[in-house]
Amino acid sequence: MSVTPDSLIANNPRISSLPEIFYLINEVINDPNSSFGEVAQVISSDTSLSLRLLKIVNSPFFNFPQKIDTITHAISIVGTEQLRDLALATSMLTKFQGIADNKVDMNSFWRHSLGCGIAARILAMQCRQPNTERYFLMGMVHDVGRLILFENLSEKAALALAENGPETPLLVDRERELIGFHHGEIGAALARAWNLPPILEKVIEFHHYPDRANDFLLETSILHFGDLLAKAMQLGNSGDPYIPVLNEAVWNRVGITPGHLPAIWKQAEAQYENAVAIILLG
Amino acid sequence: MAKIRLQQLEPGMIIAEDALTSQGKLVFPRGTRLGPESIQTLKAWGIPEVQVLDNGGSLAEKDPPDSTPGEGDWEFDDEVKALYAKSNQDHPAIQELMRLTQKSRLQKKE
Repeated sequence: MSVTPDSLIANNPRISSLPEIFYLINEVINDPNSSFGEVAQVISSDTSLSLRLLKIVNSPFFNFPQKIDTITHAISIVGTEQLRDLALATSMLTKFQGIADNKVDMNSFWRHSLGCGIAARILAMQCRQPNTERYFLMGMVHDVGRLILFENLSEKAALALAENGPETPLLVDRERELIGFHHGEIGAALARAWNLPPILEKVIEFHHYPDRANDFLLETSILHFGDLLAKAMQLGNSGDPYIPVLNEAVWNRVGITPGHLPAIWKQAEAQYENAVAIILLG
Repeated sequence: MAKIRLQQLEPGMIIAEDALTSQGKLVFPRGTRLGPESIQTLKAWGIPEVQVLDNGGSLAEKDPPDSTPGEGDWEFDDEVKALYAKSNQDHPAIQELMRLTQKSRLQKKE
């Protein structure tokens, strides 16, 4: 049987399902009769998750004027789905513990993912997207396919990585040549296995090819440019540090001007170290 | 410094003052080196003319100017050049990011 992105996920029980708490969270969110309080109760049953969430909602990430002490309060301010996406984003490190961690510099990997999530979230706010926490989640998940590549197809993954330099084609294209698919497709398979909404699946799959993400062109362009920004800011490294070509269609969709970039850069910088402390070191 | 009409602008020229729309929206900050696409962008925003540096028009083919550092003439270190080697360095957004990367690296060194 040949290896496919879906088989890689299915054959790894460690990652083939969502962290359990999210099944419970989704169950209450999807129940039309449930209340804020019940959602909060489920989240609060996971103490370390709740603590992490409270630290984040009280950080420069949100800059709320008053202190938020309870998950119920956090939900009422941030929103139910937003808090769920934020919770999933901060759970990725634990979920991927032990996956390829002897082959990949995990600290650097997650730093890049965080940087990308932060940048994409700021861009999503500029683009007036309804759920900006979803973009933070996208950033945290966009490259995890590469961890799965290193875990299962380490020789080819390492070969592609070793060849990557300033003059070579993009690493993602070399993955396709050597393996037959790339890390974005593995991330999309993961999103399918976890029953995440189609937007997450498509945005992750096409984050290197934003013009191919038919129904989600804007959303994918936002993540693509967030990824590019994290690379420009040199926040961590998930394998490919090189800045890709910025195509005009992507740039126009995101709709900012070069004059906006210094302020966005500064805002991302201000949120980054704090997020590292809470999510990576916390 | 000279005011140049859109039709006379050429890639490689450097903007000497912020290029603003009639509503005051910043399109390119001063110091931006124009690429072929940036002239299109100015046209799209309806900006009829911009201030450019006097020697701006000939920067592309002649030696770099001797004494105007900080005004769009950035020295990029090798790592920054490598980082952006695969990108389209004539795009105004990429040019701005290159400057920001270089600036942030210098700040971290201090």
